[in-house]
Amino acid sequence: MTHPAIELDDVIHQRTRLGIVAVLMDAKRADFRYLKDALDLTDGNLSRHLQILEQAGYVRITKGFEGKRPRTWVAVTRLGRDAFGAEMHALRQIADRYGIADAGTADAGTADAAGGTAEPANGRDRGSAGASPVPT
Amino acid sequence: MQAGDAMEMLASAQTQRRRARADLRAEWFPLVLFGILTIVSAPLYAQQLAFGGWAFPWVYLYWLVAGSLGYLAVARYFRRREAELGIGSSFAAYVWVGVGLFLYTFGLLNALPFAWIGLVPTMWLIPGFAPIVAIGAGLLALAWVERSPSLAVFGAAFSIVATLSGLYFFDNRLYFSAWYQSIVDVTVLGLILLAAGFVYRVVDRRATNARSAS
Repeated sequence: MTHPAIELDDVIHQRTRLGIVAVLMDAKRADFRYLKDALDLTDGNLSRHLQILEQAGYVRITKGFEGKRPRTWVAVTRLGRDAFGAEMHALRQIADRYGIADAGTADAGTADAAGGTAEPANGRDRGSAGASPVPT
Repeated sequence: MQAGDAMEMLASAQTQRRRARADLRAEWFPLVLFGILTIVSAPLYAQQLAFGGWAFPWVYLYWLVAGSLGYLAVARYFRRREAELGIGSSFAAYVWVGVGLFLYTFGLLNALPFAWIGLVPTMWLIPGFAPIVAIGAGLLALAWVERSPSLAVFGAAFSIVATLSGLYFFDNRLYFSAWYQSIVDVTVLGLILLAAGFVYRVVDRRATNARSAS
């Protein structure tokens, strides 16, 4: 039996990025300001995380205007939903494996199929790699 | 990775998701709006006795126009809310159910001459009650959009109560028979919607205050 940590996806297995996708799971879209407030992040930090998620194909970013005000909308993709489901599944398995039952059961994703990379996760924050921010 | 870390990440994701769901919900508005529309429609239900037991089409015409406008007003309200809050739901299910309900009410209006041969579904209800039963379907669509299990339960329960009311179920149990009984029944159904709307409003306010306090 493989260790459930194998199923963890390096992109989404990071607290902030998991939080971003969690917020978007039930919504059609959320804007940059909402995500920033909900996750208590700075503009630059959120931009870096969004860019990583976008590069992985987990979110779709749309920029537009409402009146004269620029607005950036973020939506989760099918791939992102699958990754979220797989991540939650793997996290629950890890929690169960060590005898902590029913962790986050109410928050099961829409897909349990493992869609992550085959690398063991180390929880490192790829968002701090200095990628250019997404302009808002 | 340790089990404690996994638990922490699960809990954090769960909290974020719960918060987003709470922000997506605004059940009170459609309930209050359709409660008012239902109560306003009540006098039209007095006409059925004057037309040989069949409701004058004004009831259906009222629901075709007022119901459609109300449905659009709810969609507009959620669009404005999305613009203000910065988070919104997918309205595909709501739109399709809305189109279905419009066609259904339009069909009822046009099918009245054939109602007596029983070809029209739900025509066995007291005339004019089918559109009120259909409000429950609209609420179910909204429950899907808002991911609100409580609204789904309420919408289903409301449809059942409206159907039973449209079969004189409650009037028969209460030995209530009068020319204005349909007016009373419709008013009570409207008041149920209004009361549920106010309850949701109070609960929403409390949840919002609790979130901003934390």
